[in-house]
Amino acid sequence: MFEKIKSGMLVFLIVSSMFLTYRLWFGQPPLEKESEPHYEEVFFTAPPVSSRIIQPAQIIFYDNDRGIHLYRRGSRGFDRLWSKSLNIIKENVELNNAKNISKSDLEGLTATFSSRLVYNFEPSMPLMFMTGTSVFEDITFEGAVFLWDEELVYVIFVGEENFLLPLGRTEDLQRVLLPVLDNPHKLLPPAIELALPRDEDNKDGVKNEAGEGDEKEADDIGIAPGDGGDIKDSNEQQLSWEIETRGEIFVPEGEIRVAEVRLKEEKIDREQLVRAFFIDLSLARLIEERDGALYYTDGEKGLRIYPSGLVEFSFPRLDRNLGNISYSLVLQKGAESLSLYGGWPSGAYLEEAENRGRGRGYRLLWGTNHKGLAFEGEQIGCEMEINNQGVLFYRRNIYLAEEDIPGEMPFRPYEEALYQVISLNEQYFKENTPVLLALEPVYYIPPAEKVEKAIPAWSVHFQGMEKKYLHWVTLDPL
Amino acid sequence: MDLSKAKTVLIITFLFLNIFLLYQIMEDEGRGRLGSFGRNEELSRLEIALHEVNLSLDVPLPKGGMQVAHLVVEPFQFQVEDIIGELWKLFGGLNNVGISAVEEAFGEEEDGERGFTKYTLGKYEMIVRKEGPVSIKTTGESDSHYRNNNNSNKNSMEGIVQSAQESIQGISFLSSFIYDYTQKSQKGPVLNFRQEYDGFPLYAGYFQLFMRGLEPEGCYLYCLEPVGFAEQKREVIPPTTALLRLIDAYKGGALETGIIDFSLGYYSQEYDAERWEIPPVWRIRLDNGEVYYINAFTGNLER
Repeated sequence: MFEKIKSGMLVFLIVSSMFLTYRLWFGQPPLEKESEPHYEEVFFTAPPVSSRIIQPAQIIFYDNDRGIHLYRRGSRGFDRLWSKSLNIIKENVELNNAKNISKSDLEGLTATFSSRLVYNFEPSMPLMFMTGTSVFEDITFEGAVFLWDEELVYVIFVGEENFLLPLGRTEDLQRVLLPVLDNPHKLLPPAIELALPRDEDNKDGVKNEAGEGDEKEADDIGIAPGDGGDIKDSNEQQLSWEIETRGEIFVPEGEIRVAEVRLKEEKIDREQLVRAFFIDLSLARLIEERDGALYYTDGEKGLRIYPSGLVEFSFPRLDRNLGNISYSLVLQKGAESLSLYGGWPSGAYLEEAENRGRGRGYRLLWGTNHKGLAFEGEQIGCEMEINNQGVLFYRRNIYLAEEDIPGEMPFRPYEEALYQVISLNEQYFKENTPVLLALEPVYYIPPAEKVEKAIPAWSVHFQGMEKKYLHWVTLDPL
Repeated sequence: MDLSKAKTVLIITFLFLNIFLLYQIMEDEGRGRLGSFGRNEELSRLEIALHEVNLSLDVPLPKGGMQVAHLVVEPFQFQVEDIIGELWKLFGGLNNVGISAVEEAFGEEEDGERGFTKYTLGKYEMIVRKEGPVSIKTTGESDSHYRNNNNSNKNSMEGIVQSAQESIQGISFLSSFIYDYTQKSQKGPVLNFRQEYDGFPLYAGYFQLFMRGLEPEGCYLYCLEPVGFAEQKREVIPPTTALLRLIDAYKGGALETGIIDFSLGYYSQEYDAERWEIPPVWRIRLDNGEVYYINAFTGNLER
């Protein structure tokens, strides 16, 4: 019996010594524990394909007989035109057949052909996004011009270098390329003489076409006697200004009838949004700020969600590690990040891509539109700063259009809008020649704690000053 | 040798072996000394890294492996008239004067741009900031009519700390503060008190008392109201990882500096907010007065 106990004790001691040896050798965790990162990227919306990352800013049809027809992003016919042209290019472009042409050759060709279809890209489009090949990876272009004669259709990619390529037979492609000609515009000349008659009967400088609303006294819009070279004596019936235009500025020939549009805030799943920025939610701590904003931070990066729906994110540490990143890669990463951080807003387009220089990456700006008119205003749209490390800054403030508010009215003539801006800044323009950089009809979203509607407006941009927005009916500054 | 004797010898041998192995295992777990076979090399690396920046670990490594969550806090809401009299007693002035008399004696300046309110009485001024911190400081030389401590050890550090603790215990909003440590300054010792919640030090809530001898010369108060822990728990980084993060952040000096305190608590900067979450931190205090807070989830240095 005693021997059995001894045997049992010996076996126990042997087994326990093996266990203790194992515990001593392997049982202690390493001083620094590593855990495999586990996260999932959940996109709010699928990232767009490369060819959809950038849209043309304008599609312009020129014809000697039928005039100029212009299509802005979101306007009727724009998406169809753009899709068809993309498909034609993808299916028919053979880059081996590309012929490098000079600027003078380009000008000669556009003068020779009686009609052409021009796609203007701003920001510029990487060639590989349109062709689907990476043969000319670093080449970008600002325009694509479609030309056709009786036999062949050609495309010219316009940029630092110009490439002419044949696409196919005119009889096969022309009817696909041609737009519905329902959007006549005219090109402003390099110099405009802006003169508005002064009505002696009611002494109004600017009339309201609908006959209602405010009628401005001449003094209210700043018509004043002066000694500027372009202003005539106030006793005379006409006051005129000479305006220079820079670049191609198109204005609609027909009437644009619009109404104010009711807006609603974009609704984003807050938890999904926070998880998109913070790999592990348990690392992010929440601060409920006094203005109602929620601020999430892990000490290195921060995400702030305002009660108005505005979202701001910053990760300053990424700005310290400089490195180069190609333009096309930035566009792809930017599109993926936008899809990840809230989703690609409906109708959104890339409006601006600015190189921040010195290896600091790019600043990207996306906008949205409604019925072909861009939404503009303070901090509207999506802004992103991105470099080779990732997204270091992101701001998102998107409003969605609901229904039009009753009260459709036509836009006041563009001449009156120009005159109004000049009148309101008369002193400046007495000392500086008015140089018009941009003029277009937009929807303006006024800054407010709670935004309810967007107002149609003329967006007028003169050199030397910020953009001015004028109410589309009263021409009051917004 | 017969089998029975062999068994006896083996039993004794394995018994000694097991005792030795147990001793080694106990030595390893949380003692911070030279450890077992598998961790020797890692600990040596750590010691070398500390030595390279002239740091030495003068306290045992704390235990890690805990699962904790963020701590939710709110700012301590107070009316100035409720605290001003209480704090004033600490400085021995207007000892038996009622609140209304105190208010009358105060002038008030408000500077909206700088976000604080200043109250002055005689040689003291009190500043209340909108984020919550309250500070009192003297603007002139100390006055002899302020009370003296009759403790027989009145000039010893223990006596100073004891006197201060007795004083603050009598103040309602300070009664939960616990003595933490003392710093030395040119003018005199600075006593640091901290808050606690559910057994965890809350370093973010603190009370500093600036002493000149037995006489408090000024104070700095930042008080928080703990609400509770967040739902999601997470394991903290090992203390050795926190040490390595400290080594990255530490600027170093010519003289060897000792780590005299290494503990887990909660800390964040001051916020002007309705409510916020505070992360757990490894607080590492050096004998030169520097204090570092390493986020116990991310390993980042909290400022």
